[in-house]
Amino acid sequence: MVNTGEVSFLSEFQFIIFVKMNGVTSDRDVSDVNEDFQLDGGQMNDLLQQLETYTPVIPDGVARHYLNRAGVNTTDPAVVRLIALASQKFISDIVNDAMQLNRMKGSSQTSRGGKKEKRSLLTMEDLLPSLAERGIKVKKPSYYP
Amino acid sequence: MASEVLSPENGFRQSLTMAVAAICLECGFESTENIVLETLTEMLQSYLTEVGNSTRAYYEHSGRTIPTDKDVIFALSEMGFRNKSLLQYSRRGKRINIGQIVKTVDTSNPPVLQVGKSKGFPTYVPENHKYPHFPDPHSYIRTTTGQKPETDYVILREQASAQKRDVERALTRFVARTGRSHPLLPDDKNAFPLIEAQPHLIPYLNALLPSEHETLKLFEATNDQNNEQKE
Repeated sequence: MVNTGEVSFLSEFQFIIFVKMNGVTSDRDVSDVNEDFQLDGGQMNDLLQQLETYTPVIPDGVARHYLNRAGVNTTDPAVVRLIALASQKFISDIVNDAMQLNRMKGSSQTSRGGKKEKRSLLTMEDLLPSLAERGIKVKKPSYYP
Repeated sequence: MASEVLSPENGFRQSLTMAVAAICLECGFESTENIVLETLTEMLQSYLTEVGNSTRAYYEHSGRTIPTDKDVIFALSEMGFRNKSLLQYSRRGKRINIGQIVKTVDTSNPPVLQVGKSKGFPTYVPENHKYPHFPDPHSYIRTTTGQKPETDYVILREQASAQKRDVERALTRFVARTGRSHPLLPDDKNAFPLIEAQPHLIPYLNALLPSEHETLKLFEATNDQNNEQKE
Protein backbone atom coordinates (compact mmCIF):
# COMPACT_ATOMS: atom_id res chain seq x y z
CA MET A 1 0.00 0.00 0.00
CA VAL A 2 2.84 2.31 -0.82
CA ASN A 3 2.20 3.18 -4.38
CA THR A 4 1.05 6.77 -4.13
CA GLY A 5 3.66 9.48 -4.01
CA GLU A 6 4.36 13.00 -5.09
CA VAL A 7 7.64 14.19 -6.54
CA SER A 8 8.14 17.88 -7.14
CA PHE A 9 11.20 19.74 -8.43
CA LEU A 10 12.33 23.25 -7.75
CA SER A 11 15.11 23.28 -10.31
CA GLU A 12 16.76 20.87 -12.63
CA PHE A 13 20.10 20.50 -10.88
CA GLN A 14 19.36 21.49 -7.32
CA PHE A 15 16.04 20.06 -6.38
CA ILE A 16 14.22 18.88 -3.35
CA ILE A 17 12.14 15.82 -3.93
CA PHE A 18 9.35 14.84 -1.64
CA VAL A 19 8.24 11.30 -2.15
CA LYS A 20 5.33 10.47 0.07
CA MET A 21 4.63 6.80 0.39
CA ASN A 22 1.58 6.77 2.55
CA GLY A 23 -1.08 4.20 3.19
CA VAL A 24 -3.30 5.07 0.25
CA THR A 25 -4.24 2.04 -1.82
CA SER A 26 -4.69 2.14 -5.53
CA ASP A 27 -6.88 -0.13 -7.60
CA ARG A 28 -4.02 -2.45 -8.46
CA ASP A 29 -3.34 -3.45 -4.89
CA VAL A 30 -6.52 -5.41 -4.38
CA SER A 31 -5.54 -8.00 -6.94
CA ASP A 32 -1.97 -8.34 -5.66
CA VAL A 33 -3.00 -10.20 -2.54
CA ASN A 34 -3.93 -13.02 -4.88
CA GLU A 35 -2.05 -16.22 -4.11
CA ASP A 36 -0.70 -16.51 -7.64
CA PHE A 37 1.69 -13.73 -6.83
CA GLN A 38 3.03 -15.15 -3.59
CA LEU A 39 5.84 -17.60 -3.01
CA ASP A 40 5.54 -21.16 -1.78
CA GLY A 41 7.91 -22.57 0.79
CA GLY A 42 9.90 -24.54 -1.76
CA GLN A 43 10.22 -21.55 -4.05
CA MET A 44 11.39 -19.57 -1.08
CA ASN A 45 14.28 -21.97 -0.52
CA ASP A 46 15.16 -21.80 -4.20
CA LEU A 47 15.21 -18.04 -4.05
CA LEU A 48 17.45 -18.00 -1.01
CA GLN A 49 19.87 -20.38 -2.67
CA GLN A 50 19.91 -18.21 -5.77
CA LEU A 51 20.72 -15.22 -3.64
CA GLU A 52 23.83 -16.83 -2.28
CA THR A 53 25.35 -16.92 -5.74
CA TYR A 54 23.75 -13.92 -7.35
CA THR A 55 24.69 -10.47 -6.12
CA PRO A 56 22.09 -7.80 -6.74
CA VAL A 57 23.16 -4.63 -8.50
CA ILE A 58 22.90 -2.65 -5.27
CA PRO A 59 26.07 -3.42 -3.28
CA ASP A 60 25.58 -5.15 0.05
CA GLY A 61 27.21 -2.36 2.01
CA VAL A 62 24.98 0.31 0.53
CA ALA A 63 21.82 -1.69 1.13
CA ARG A 64 22.90 -2.46 4.65
CA HIS A 65 23.56 1.23 5.28
CA TYR A 66 20.06 2.24 4.22
CA LEU A 67 18.52 -0.59 6.19
CA ASN A 68 20.41 0.56 9.27
CA ARG A 69 18.98 3.99 8.69
CA ALA A 70 15.53 2.44 8.76
CA GLY A 71 16.33 0.61 11.98
CA VAL A 72 16.88 -2.92 10.72
CA ASN A 73 19.69 -4.65 12.60
CA THR A 74 20.96 -7.54 10.56
CA THR A 75 24.03 -9.64 10.03
CA ASP A 76 22.30 -12.04 7.68
CA PRO A 77 23.33 -11.36 4.07
CA ALA A 78 20.30 -13.23 2.71
CA VAL A 79 17.87 -10.70 4.12
CA VAL A 80 19.93 -7.77 2.83
CA ARG A 81 20.17 -9.28 -0.65
CA LEU A 82 16.49 -10.10 -0.72
CA ILE A 83 15.55 -6.51 -0.02
CA ALA A 84 18.15 -5.23 -2.50
CA LEU A 85 16.82 -7.57 -5.17
CA ALA A 86 13.23 -6.51 -4.57
CA SER A 87 14.15 -2.82 -4.80
CA GLN A 88 16.15 -3.49 -7.96
CA LYS A 89 13.19 -5.24 -9.50
CA PHE A 90 10.93 -2.35 -8.54
CA ILE A 91 13.09 0.13 -10.45
CA SER A 92 13.68 -2.35 -13.22
CA ASP A 93 9.95 -2.76 -13.84
CA ILE A 94 9.49 0.99 -14.13
CA VAL A 95 12.38 1.34 -16.53
CA ASN A 96 11.15 -1.59 -18.59
CA ASP A 97 7.74 0.00 -18.99
CA ALA A 98 9.44 3.22 -20.02
CA MET A 99 11.47 1.26 -22.56
CA GLN A 100 8.35 -0.19 -24.11
CA LEU A 101 6.81 3.25 -24.36
CA ASN A 102 9.99 4.48 -25.98
CA ARG A 103 9.94 1.66 -28.52
CA MET A 104 6.31 2.26 -29.37
CA LYS A 105 7.03 5.91 -30.01
CA GLY A 106 10.20 5.03 -31.89
CA SER A 107 8.47 2.45 -34.08
CA SER A 108 5.75 4.89 -35.02
CA GLN A 109 8.41 7.39 -36.08
CA THR A 110 10.80 5.06 -37.91
CA SER A 111 7.96 3.61 -39.98
CA ARG A 112 8.12 6.92 -41.81
CA GLY A 113 11.88 7.40 -41.90
CA GLY A 114 13.18 3.84 -42.06
CA LYS A 115 16.38 4.80 -40.25
CA LYS A 116 17.27 2.83 -37.19
CA GLU A 117 17.57 4.95 -34.10
CA LYS A 118 20.79 3.91 -32.46
CA ARG A 119 20.78 6.06 -29.37
CA SER A 120 18.01 5.23 -26.86
CA LEU A 121 17.61 7.98 -24.34
CA LEU A 122 15.46 7.64 -21.27
CA THR A 123 13.60 10.89 -20.87
CA MET A 124 11.08 12.19 -18.39
CA GLU A 125 8.47 11.94 -21.12
CA ASP A 126 8.72 8.16 -21.03
CA LEU A 127 9.18 7.92 -17.32
CA LEU A 128 6.18 10.00 -16.28
CA PRO A 129 3.49 7.75 -17.78
CA SER A 130 5.27 4.68 -16.45
CA LEU A 131 5.20 6.11 -12.95
CA ALA A 132 1.65 7.35 -13.33
CA GLU A 133 0.53 3.75 -13.98
CA ARG A 134 1.81 2.90 -10.54
CA GLY A 135 0.17 5.87 -8.91
CA ILE A 136 3.32 7.95 -8.43
CA LYS A 137 2.67 11.49 -9.50
CA VAL A 138 5.67 13.50 -10.66
CA LYS A 139 5.54 17.23 -11.24
CA LYS A 140 8.27 18.87 -13.22
CA PRO A 141 8.79 22.60 -13.28
CA SER A 142 8.42 24.01 -16.74
CA TYR A 143 11.30 26.43 -16.40
CA TYR A 144 14.63 26.73 -14.61
CA PRO A 145 14.48 29.73 -12.21
CA MET B 1 23.63 23.79 0.58
CA ALA B 2 26.77 21.82 -0.13
CA SER B 3 27.85 21.87 3.49
CA GLU B 4 24.62 20.20 4.55
CA VAL B 5 25.40 17.14 2.47
CA LEU B 6 27.58 14.76 4.52
CA SER B 7 30.25 13.13 2.42
CA PRO B 8 29.67 9.49 3.51
CA GLU B 9 25.97 9.93 2.88
CA ASN B 10 26.77 11.39 -0.50
CA GLY B 11 28.93 8.38 -1.27
CA PHE B 12 26.09 5.98 -0.59
CA ARG B 13 23.79 8.08 -2.69
CA GLN B 14 26.21 8.03 -5.58
CA SER B 15 26.49 4.26 -5.45
CA LEU B 16 22.71 4.08 -5.58
CA THR B 17 22.81 6.27 -8.68
CA MET B 18 25.32 3.91 -10.22
CA ALA B 19 23.03 0.99 -9.48
CA VAL B 20 20.15 2.83 -11.17
CA ALA B 21 22.34 3.50 -14.17
CA ALA B 22 23.22 -0.19 -14.35
CA ILE B 23 19.54 -1.10 -14.25
CA CYS B 24 18.80 1.32 -17.10
CA LEU B 25 21.65 -0.15 -19.10
CA GLU B 26 20.30 -3.62 -18.54
CA CYS B 27 16.88 -2.57 -19.84
CA GLY B 28 18.43 -1.30 -23.04
CA PHE B 29 18.80 2.43 -22.55
CA GLU B 30 22.19 3.81 -23.41
CA SER B 31 21.70 7.18 -21.79
CA THR B 32 19.26 9.02 -19.59
CA GLU B 33 18.50 12.55 -18.65
CA ASN B 34 20.09 13.76 -15.45
CA ILE B 35 16.77 14.47 -13.89
CA VAL B 36 15.61 10.93 -14.58
CA LEU B 37 18.61 9.48 -12.77
CA GLU B 38 17.98 11.65 -9.73
CA THR B 39 14.30 10.75 -9.67
CA LEU B 40 14.98 7.05 -9.82
CA THR B 41 17.73 7.30 -7.21
CA GLU B 42 15.41 9.04 -4.82
CA MET B 43 12.74 6.44 -5.46
CA LEU B 44 15.18 3.61 -4.87
CA GLN B 45 16.36 5.12 -1.61
CA SER B 46 12.78 5.66 -0.44
CA TYR B 47 11.84 2.14 -1.40
CA LEU B 48 14.76 0.61 0.46
CA THR B 49 13.93 2.67 3.54
CA GLU B 50 10.26 1.78 3.36
CA VAL B 51 10.88 -1.94 3.01
CA GLY B 52 13.32 -1.71 5.92
CA ASN B 53 10.76 0.06 8.07
CA SER B 54 8.03 -2.44 7.31
CA THR B 55 10.36 -5.37 7.94
CA ARG B 56 11.37 -3.91 11.25
CA ALA B 57 7.72 -3.42 12.20
CA TYR B 58 7.00 -7.06 11.42
CA TYR B 59 9.85 -8.64 13.30
CA GLU B 60 9.46 -6.35 16.29
CA HIS B 61 5.78 -7.20 16.34
CA SER B 62 6.71 -10.88 16.69
CA GLY B 63 9.02 -10.04 19.55
CA ARG B 64 12.26 -10.65 17.67
CA THR B 65 15.28 -8.41 17.26
CA ILE B 66 16.65 -9.92 14.05
CA PRO B 67 14.75 -10.03 10.75
CA THR B 68 14.01 -13.30 9.02
CA ASP B 69 13.21 -13.88 5.39
CA LYS B 70 9.50 -14.22 6.16
CA ASP B 71 9.41 -10.73 7.59
CA VAL B 72 10.82 -9.34 4.36
CA ILE B 73 8.27 -11.27 2.30
CA PHE B 74 5.40 -9.95 4.39
CA ALA B 75 6.71 -6.41 4.14
CA LEU B 76 7.02 -6.68 0.36
CA SER B 77 3.51 -8.14 0.04
CA GLU B 78 2.15 -5.28 2.09
CA MET B 79 3.69 -2.85 -0.36
CA GLY B 80 2.06 -4.52 -3.31
CA PHE B 81 5.15 -6.28 -4.55
CA ARG B 82 4.63 -9.51 -6.50
CA ASN B 83 6.94 -11.89 -4.71
CA LYS B 84 6.57 -14.71 -7.19
CA SER B 85 8.21 -12.70 -9.92
CA LEU B 86 11.35 -12.42 -7.80
CA LEU B 87 12.26 -16.03 -8.55
CA GLN B 88 12.10 -15.51 -12.28
CA TYR B 89 13.88 -12.20 -12.03
CA SER B 90 16.78 -13.69 -10.14
CA ARG B 91 17.27 -16.30 -12.85
CA ARG B 92 17.41 -13.98 -15.82
CA GLY B 93 20.32 -14.15 -18.18
CA LYS B 94 22.01 -10.83 -18.74
CA ARG B 95 23.12 -9.13 -15.59
CA ILE B 96 25.31 -6.18 -14.92
CA ASN B 97 27.47 -6.16 -11.83
CA ILE B 98 28.97 -2.95 -10.53
CA GLY B 99 31.08 -4.64 -7.90
CA GLN B 100 31.04 -4.57 -4.15
CA ILE B 101 32.29 -1.79 -1.93
CA VAL B 102 35.75 -2.52 -0.51
CA LYS B 103 35.28 -2.56 3.24
CA THR B 104 37.82 -1.49 5.81
CA VAL B 105 38.62 -4.22 8.28
CA ASP B 106 35.82 -4.67 10.77
CA THR B 107 36.73 -4.92 14.43
CA SER B 108 34.81 -8.06 15.18
CA ASN B 109 33.38 -8.57 18.62
CA PRO B 110 35.13 -11.28 20.64
CA PRO B 111 32.93 -14.31 21.20
CA VAL B 112 30.97 -14.23 24.41
CA LEU B 113 31.87 -16.98 26.87
CA GLN B 114 29.09 -19.51 26.93
CA VAL B 115 28.32 -21.30 30.17
CA GLY B 116 26.24 -24.43 29.84
CA LYS B 117 24.26 -25.63 26.87
CA SER B 118 21.58 -23.30 25.52
CA LYS B 119 18.04 -24.60 25.09
CA GLY B 120 16.98 -26.02 21.73
CA PHE B 121 14.05 -24.84 19.64
CA PRO B 122 10.71 -26.69 19.64
CA THR B 123 10.07 -29.19 16.89
CA TYR B 124 7.71 -26.95 14.95
CA VAL B 125 10.50 -24.49 14.14
CA PRO B 126 11.96 -25.48 10.73
CA GLU B 127 15.59 -26.46 10.38
CA ASN B 128 16.69 -23.57 8.19
CA HIS B 129 15.56 -20.92 10.61
CA LYS B 130 17.72 -17.88 11.18
CA TYR B 131 16.51 -17.08 14.68
CA PRO B 132 19.10 -16.14 17.28
CA HIS B 133 19.99 -18.85 19.75
CA PHE B 134 18.63 -18.91 23.27
CA PRO B 135 20.83 -17.24 25.89
CA ASP B 136 22.70 -19.21 28.52
CA PRO B 137 20.18 -21.14 30.60
CA HIS B 138 21.36 -19.81 33.93
CA SER B 139 20.40 -16.29 32.93
CA TYR B 140 16.67 -16.96 32.75
CA ILE B 141 15.93 -20.47 34.08
CA ARG B 142 15.80 -20.66 37.85
CA THR B 143 15.07 -23.67 40.05
CA THR B 144 14.39 -22.95 43.71
CA THR B 145 16.60 -24.73 46.21
CA GLY B 146 16.27 -25.53 49.89
CA GLN B 147 14.60 -28.03 52.18
CA LYS B 148 11.26 -28.03 53.85
CA PRO B 149 11.64 -27.34 57.55
CA GLU B 150 11.21 -30.21 60.03
CA THR B 151 7.95 -30.33 61.89
CA ASP B 152 8.32 -33.52 63.92
CA TYR B 153 8.53 -32.70 67.64
CA VAL B 154 10.76 -35.61 68.58
CA ILE B 155 13.34 -34.81 65.94
CA LEU B 156 13.25 -31.12 66.73
CA ARG B 157 13.83 -31.77 70.48
CA GLU B 158 16.76 -33.98 69.69
CA GLN B 159 18.23 -31.42 67.32
CA ALA B 160 17.80 -28.61 69.84
CA SER B 161 19.51 -30.50 72.61
CA ALA B 162 22.35 -31.65 70.36
CA GLN B 163 22.88 -28.07 69.20
CA LYS B 164 22.95 -26.81 72.80
CA ARG B 165 25.50 -29.40 73.84
CA ASP B 166 27.68 -28.69 70.82
CA VAL B 167 27.60 -24.95 71.41
CA GLU B 168 28.57 -25.29 75.07
CA ARG B 169 31.40 -27.67 74.28
CA ALA B 170 32.76 -25.53 71.48
CA LEU B 171 32.61 -22.36 73.56
CA THR B 172 34.36 -23.87 76.57
CA ARG B 173 37.09 -25.35 74.44
CA PHE B 174 37.57 -22.03 72.73
CA VAL B 175 37.99 -20.13 75.98
CA ALA B 176 40.24 -22.86 77.35
CA ARG B 177 42.45 -22.82 74.28
CA THR B 178 42.78 -19.08 74.07
CA GLY B 179 43.07 -18.37 77.75
CA ARG B 180 44.70 -20.07 80.69
CA SER B 181 43.75 -23.73 80.75
CA HIS B 182 44.03 -26.59 83.17
CA PRO B 183 44.21 -30.08 81.61
CA LEU B 184 41.93 -32.75 82.97
CA LEU B 185 44.10 -35.73 82.03
CA PRO B 186 47.77 -35.46 82.95
CA ASP B 187 48.89 -37.54 79.92
CA ASP B 188 46.97 -35.87 77.13
CA LYS B 189 47.12 -32.13 77.54
CA ASN B 190 44.84 -31.28 74.59
CA ALA B 191 42.00 -33.79 75.00
CA PHE B 192 39.94 -32.15 77.76
CA PRO B 193 41.16 -28.64 78.45
CA LEU B 194 39.42 -26.91 81.33
CA ILE B 195 39.22 -23.21 81.92
CA GLU B 196 41.56 -22.42 84.79
CA ALA B 197 39.86 -20.99 87.83
CA GLN B 198 41.33 -17.72 89.01
CA PRO B 199 40.51 -17.22 92.69
CA HIS B 200 40.33 -13.64 93.96
CA LEU B 201 42.47 -12.48 96.84
CA ILE B 202 39.40 -11.33 98.77
CA PRO B 203 36.61 -13.69 97.58
CA TYR B 204 33.72 -11.99 99.44
CA LEU B 205 34.53 -8.50 98.06
CA ASN B 206 32.40 -8.97 94.99
CA ALA B 207 29.32 -9.73 97.12
CA LEU B 208 29.77 -6.66 99.27
CA LEU B 209 30.33 -4.03 96.61
CA PRO B 210 27.17 -2.73 94.87
CA SER B 211 26.78 -3.42 91.17
CA GLU B 212 26.95 -0.66 88.64
CA HIS B 213 23.20 -0.64 88.26
CA GLU B 214 22.74 -0.04 91.98
CA THR B 215 25.44 2.63 91.97
CA LEU B 216 23.63 4.52 89.26
CA LYS B 217 20.31 4.33 91.11
CA LEU B 218 21.94 5.61 94.32
CA PHE B 219 23.53 8.47 92.43
CA GLU B 220 20.23 9.53 90.92
CA ALA B 221 18.49 9.32 94.30
CA THR B 222 21.02 11.62 96.01
CA ASN B 223 20.74 14.08 93.12
CA ASP B 224 16.98 14.28 93.54
CA GLN B 225 17.37 14.86 97.26
CA ASN B 226 19.82 17.70 96.69
CA ASN B 227 17.48 19.32 94.18
CA GLU B 228 14.59 19.19 96.62
CA GLN B 229 16.67 20.73 99.40
CA LYS B 230 17.71 23.61 97.19
CA GLU B 231 14.12 24.42 96.32
